[in-house]
Amino acid sequence: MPISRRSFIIGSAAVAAAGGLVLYNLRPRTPVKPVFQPAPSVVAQRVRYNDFSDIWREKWTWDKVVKGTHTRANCISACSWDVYVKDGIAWREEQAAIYAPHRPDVPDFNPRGCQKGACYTQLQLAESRVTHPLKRVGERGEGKWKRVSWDEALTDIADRIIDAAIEQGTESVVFDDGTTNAGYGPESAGDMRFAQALQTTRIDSWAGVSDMPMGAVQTWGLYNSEGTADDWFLSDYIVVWVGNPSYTRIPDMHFMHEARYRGAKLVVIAPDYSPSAIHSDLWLNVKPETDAALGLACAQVMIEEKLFKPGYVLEQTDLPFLVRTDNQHFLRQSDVERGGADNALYLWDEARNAIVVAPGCEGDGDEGRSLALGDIRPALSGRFEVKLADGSSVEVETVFDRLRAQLDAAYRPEQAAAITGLHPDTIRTFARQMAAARRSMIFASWGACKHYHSDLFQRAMMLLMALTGNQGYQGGGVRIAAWWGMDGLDAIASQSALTMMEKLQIIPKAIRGLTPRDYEKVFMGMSERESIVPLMVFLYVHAGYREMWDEQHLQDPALPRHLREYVRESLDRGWMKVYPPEDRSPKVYIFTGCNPLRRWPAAQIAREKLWPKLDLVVSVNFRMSTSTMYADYVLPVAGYYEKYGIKYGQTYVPYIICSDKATEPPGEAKSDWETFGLLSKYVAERAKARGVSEVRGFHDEPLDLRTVYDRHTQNGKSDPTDPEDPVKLMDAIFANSPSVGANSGREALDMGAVPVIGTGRPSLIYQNYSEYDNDDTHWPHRDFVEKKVAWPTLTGRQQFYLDHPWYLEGGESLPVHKDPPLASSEFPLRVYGGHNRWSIHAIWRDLKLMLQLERGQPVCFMNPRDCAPRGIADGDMVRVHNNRGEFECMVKVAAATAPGEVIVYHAWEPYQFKQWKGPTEPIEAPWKALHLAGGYSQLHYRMFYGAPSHVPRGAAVEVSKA
Amino acid sequence: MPGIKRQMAMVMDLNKCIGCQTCTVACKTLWTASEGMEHMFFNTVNTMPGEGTPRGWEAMGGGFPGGEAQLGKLPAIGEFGDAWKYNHEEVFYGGKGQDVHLGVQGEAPTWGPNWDEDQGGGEFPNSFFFYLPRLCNHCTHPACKEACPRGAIEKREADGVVVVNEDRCRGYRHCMEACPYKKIYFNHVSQVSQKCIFCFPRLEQGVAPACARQCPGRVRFVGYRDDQDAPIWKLVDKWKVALPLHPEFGTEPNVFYVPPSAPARFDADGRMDESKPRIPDEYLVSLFGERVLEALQTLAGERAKAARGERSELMDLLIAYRWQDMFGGFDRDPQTIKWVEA
Amino acid sequence: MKTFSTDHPLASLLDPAGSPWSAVAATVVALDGTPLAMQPTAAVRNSWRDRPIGAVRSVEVRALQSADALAFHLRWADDAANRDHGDNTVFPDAAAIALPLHADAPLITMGAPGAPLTAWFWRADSGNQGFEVRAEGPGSTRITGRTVQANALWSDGVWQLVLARSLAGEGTADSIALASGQASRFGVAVWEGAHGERGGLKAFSGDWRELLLA
Repeated sequence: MPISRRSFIIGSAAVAAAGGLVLYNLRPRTPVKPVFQPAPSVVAQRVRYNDFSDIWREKWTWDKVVKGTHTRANCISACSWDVYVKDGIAWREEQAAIYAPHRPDVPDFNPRGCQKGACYTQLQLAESRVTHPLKRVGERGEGKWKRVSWDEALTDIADRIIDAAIEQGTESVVFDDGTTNAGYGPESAGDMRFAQALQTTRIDSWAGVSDMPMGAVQTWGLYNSEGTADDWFLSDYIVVWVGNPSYTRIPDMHFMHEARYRGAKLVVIAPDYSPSAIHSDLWLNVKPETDAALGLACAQVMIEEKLFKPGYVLEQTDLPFLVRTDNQHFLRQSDVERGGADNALYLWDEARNAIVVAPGCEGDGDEGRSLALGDIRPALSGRFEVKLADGSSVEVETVFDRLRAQLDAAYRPEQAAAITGLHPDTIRTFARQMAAARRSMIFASWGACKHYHSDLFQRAMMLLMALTGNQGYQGGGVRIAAWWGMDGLDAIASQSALTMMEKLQIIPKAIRGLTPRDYEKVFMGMSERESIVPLMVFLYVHAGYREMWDEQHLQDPALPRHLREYVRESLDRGWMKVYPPEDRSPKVYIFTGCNPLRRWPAAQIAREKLWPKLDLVVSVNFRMSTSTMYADYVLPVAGYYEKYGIKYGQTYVPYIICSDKATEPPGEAKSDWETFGLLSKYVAERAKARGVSEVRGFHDEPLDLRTVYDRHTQNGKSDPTDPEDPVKLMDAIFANSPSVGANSGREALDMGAVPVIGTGRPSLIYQNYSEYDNDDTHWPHRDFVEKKVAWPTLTGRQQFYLDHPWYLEGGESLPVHKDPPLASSEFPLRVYGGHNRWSIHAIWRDLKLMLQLERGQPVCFMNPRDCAPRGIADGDMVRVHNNRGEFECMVKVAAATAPGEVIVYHAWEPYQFKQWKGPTEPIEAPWKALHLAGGYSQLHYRMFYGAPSHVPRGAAVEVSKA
Repeated sequence: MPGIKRQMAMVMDLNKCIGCQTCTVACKTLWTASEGMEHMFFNTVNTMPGEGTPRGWEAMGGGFPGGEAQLGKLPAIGEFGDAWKYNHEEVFYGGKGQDVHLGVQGEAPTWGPNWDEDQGGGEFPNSFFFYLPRLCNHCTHPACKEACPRGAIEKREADGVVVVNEDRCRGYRHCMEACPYKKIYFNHVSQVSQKCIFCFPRLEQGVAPACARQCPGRVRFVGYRDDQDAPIWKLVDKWKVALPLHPEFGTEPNVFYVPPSAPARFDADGRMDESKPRIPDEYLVSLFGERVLEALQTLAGERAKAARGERSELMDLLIAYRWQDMFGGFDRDPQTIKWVEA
Repeated sequence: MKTFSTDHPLASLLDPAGSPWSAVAATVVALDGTPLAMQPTAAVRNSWRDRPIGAVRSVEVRALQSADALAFHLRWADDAANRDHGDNTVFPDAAAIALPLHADAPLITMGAPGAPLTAWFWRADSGNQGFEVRAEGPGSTRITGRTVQANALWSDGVWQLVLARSLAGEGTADSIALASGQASRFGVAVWEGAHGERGGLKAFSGDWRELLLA
């Protein structure tokens, strides 16, 4: 039996020991990497006709073509571009369009790319480009700068970092890369190494950018759930729920439209007649924030009309699990046996008429490896008497019965109609069609994370895909997102992923093959070793947001306690951690690629409360963002076509996209790799020069600042000042990544699009649990349904019942519909939005060409019915305001916008608004206390996981003519 | 066709267009990035119903109403949308803090090439809209060519592409008046009229036009109008699902559209109402002529066939399993070209 | 019309408001729109059918002749100066003096094949650059020379324009050679840019008029 590729995580010795013993042989293939052959070139003569037509011919000529992409744009897509270079300038880009199809009967991926990518050459040389180190000489935000040398900037920055470290430890230095702003290569490795070498606090912005699918974490114990975009083509019923892929999945959207021509139905659920709705077969104009009610009503129909798949439900969900009717907790082994496990849960086995520990649950006695039922015949329904260890009896019932009772009581389509505004017939039609389709999928994407009760939306969606037996199948299931794994990414970090102790602990498990749950534990350990803090917690404790979020109108009325009590309990129990510790203050804030004063809710609070605490603010960026305007130093980095990089790889396209250096950066801009290397170097050198050695590092352990550069470079293994050093790092990444088809950095750069040829082992951001080979489409969660691997949840299944005490007291043990706190606001309108068509976050937002294709300025969309009584006409300037803040913009009066909504699409720079009052000023973003829960199998915080979400949607406002 | 050997044509599937404007930008960066062309977009995409580019173009006249050549309105720059100027430098480096913000300088803009994006028509929840990408139609009977007193507009013999001969053009702009689609711009620097050239330098090398090759929605088919082995002829002539825009203008466009469908509308109680379409028939007829209803029926019928698992040549064509097959043989990858002096 | 001799250097003749011109008697030339039937394309003919062509109805013409140069002075009323293409919908104002290159050259059609004419042409967006153009029929105009000097002045609703060139010309067939004592003919055309006049849409003097060189 071949060795699981996953075993590599613990090193070669353990792999040898594991030979022949791997139980979960999830990655059997060892793909052979093909040798890259560039497309043969065609010689073309420059023909001159000596007339007017030559002008046009001359425009379409070039000196060389280099593969490029937009590595740190933090775009979900990854598209390979041919960058055409003429006279030393990256003149134009055109999609490389070199992707091979998976199957003859499935469309290919070409050409991929959008209008932003198609004009990055313009952005790279636009007015907002910074090309020299700048030092602030006026007030923060005033726009008074002085050009300084790199040496002057780095010396001063290093000195002030050292000062902060001496005073309050290195955790007072806060590094923020806005999370997925990271790439897979040297463009991000530099900052990661800097932060690790200096043991800074790192902001975990995953939930902070509203991208944390907590419903998936709660239900599945993971949230990676997507495959290749061409898998959508094989769906028969595509439900776009919350997202707006016509804006956000420009390169992939064609698969949905092509699926329609295959006979699939496309359903779009959105309050507004969104750009994604226009090509659908059915548009459900659900009232905002009522999506869970719609989903639950569909579940009610499916159960009542017996449209669900019992076999799938019994095996893959917790619906047959037994719950005590006296305390609403799962029946646990510790209830029925003295000394029994509190994580062994029960089914009622109809074959034996007795309770039986559910295979695959966390405490099943076999490490919860397989959820296969064997000869167990679980009861889906029924009440049973169970004798407890103390001799008493208790009544238990199945989760299914509890769910059904709740659905029948509160979510019949007629009841849901009153909540959602949809007609009961429409709900029934939708439910029946979804259940009848051979394969149904729900494209939820990250959009389903940005509402107060997004987790409830997601739990309802997952319930539908579980009832219909779609999760884990081709063309089916809830789709959020997933990344490609690349084992070689270990080379990015300056420290190894696992400690020796952890390796020793994991070897016995690895011999049997690691399960998803084992990986969760590994990642927990990795997370514990870094001072990483969820953004919302950081803002609450350190940035002055506590006062706002503690206000009564932002509390969930269904919770018995106040947010501050949940925060206190979570911090005290260590469920959430905060860095720097509560009794210290952040002193230095270094950010790259992100734009906190654009993105954070009510950003005026951060400007007023956090910024004054900071002795030093450094922005490392290629463009002038609003946050950069409030920095003390700007370090100019190279543009995407001016450096080597690997775009982070979401699974939509089965390629890893690399970016070669087409031209040198202008002015004095340097690559990120060099910039952050120099920062570490200067800290070490200044520490030596000043005679500073040990300061308080991570958890106040001593850290010798003189070693920072050695730690960064792994004792000289890399040299960030060498212009070709990034390619060497890429060599290490590709050579150690058997799942992708390039052998070296240079080869990858020449290819541009490096084919994925297999599956990497799970990592912090990659846990899709499906094997991939490139002769079929890719879809998520196959291991669970095909290999019966247990889900990494308490029950080992898709878990719809959460008996965590907080969920019980909050009334969310089962998925329910709840109004968000702001539903009762006296302000009549609600701000919604989403990623927009014209920028990737704030990047491209100020580019003239893009603005030319909008209205040249920020806008909001409103329905005529809301405009008329307010005397607002199309093109008017309006004030969007509430008690928290306000901003002004132009109105587009749109029949497509739902009454009651004010749609403000994403990422305008505050400096595009009067007085720089950007669109987050009235956004209070109340957070959901239950997201702070921990201590319960899948409910816990770890890096990039399970943190309280920033929920910008649904702010309550009034709009008046300006 | 008189005077030309073959005619290039394009079919755009409006059911796949997502309004992303990658076509617009692909064209812009390639052809209209130089001085005097800042306001030009040879390719535009507009939300329909809407006023479009230039504003209100459908009512500006031109073409051959009733068979007679007629000049229409000469569209003003502001009706296309000017290339607005901004104050980046002042905001970033002016030392004025929050007292200045980034915005259009000078006169406040009132129209642009995508001004009414995503607004649409109808009344919520029966709102409707779709995207209409447009370029020069390279008409068989080009109004621009026939109006030019200088004979400065040529229909290329090899491919029927309509081009302005800038050596002959004196900037009289009768072409702009005559073109009923208002797809011609005036260059105030070089003082000549300029328009889409169907990327003829690319065609000459076997490469599809940038707007088509760079379209991520895979909306655009390209090829010779009479190539019976390629999608254009099949969609236009065999299946008759691709129609010219405003055929009543009389110029015989060589750009064709697969008309859009839309989700079910709702009745007053919020029930799905399949008795009439969300996009009113009369609106589509006003754009594409009477034949549009038949085309929509054909599309719906073939889609139903595909849904039953039967093979449909039409659906397979529109799916375009292989992207390169959309380009009627003009499928060379441009980056493989190595230029040498002749 | 007779030209008058002058001792003033050419430079002083180029000022349209200059004193040499105040002493010269004007010939008032009545202008008419170019005939619809002469418009070269059906689209233009169909669309200008109900629209008057030739907004400027008369022009005062003066001519001064130095030892080696000839200067025309044109003066006509125009409410507003159009100095460029505006927002696309207007055209720069323009004027020209036509001269025959062939005895049979018809003015009304801008010459004819084999019977060309030339014109000294100025347009309000071309600064002091005047042009010699040549035409052999409608739509055939092309620039043949750039030695014509032009200077225009607009004030109080009046354009004044001087067009001057050496008498001898460039010595080519396209550049008319003039000499003292010679009898030739001239025509005048004025384009009112605000009225959409350009190319063949203009006001002109109808037929040739006599030009007697001093």
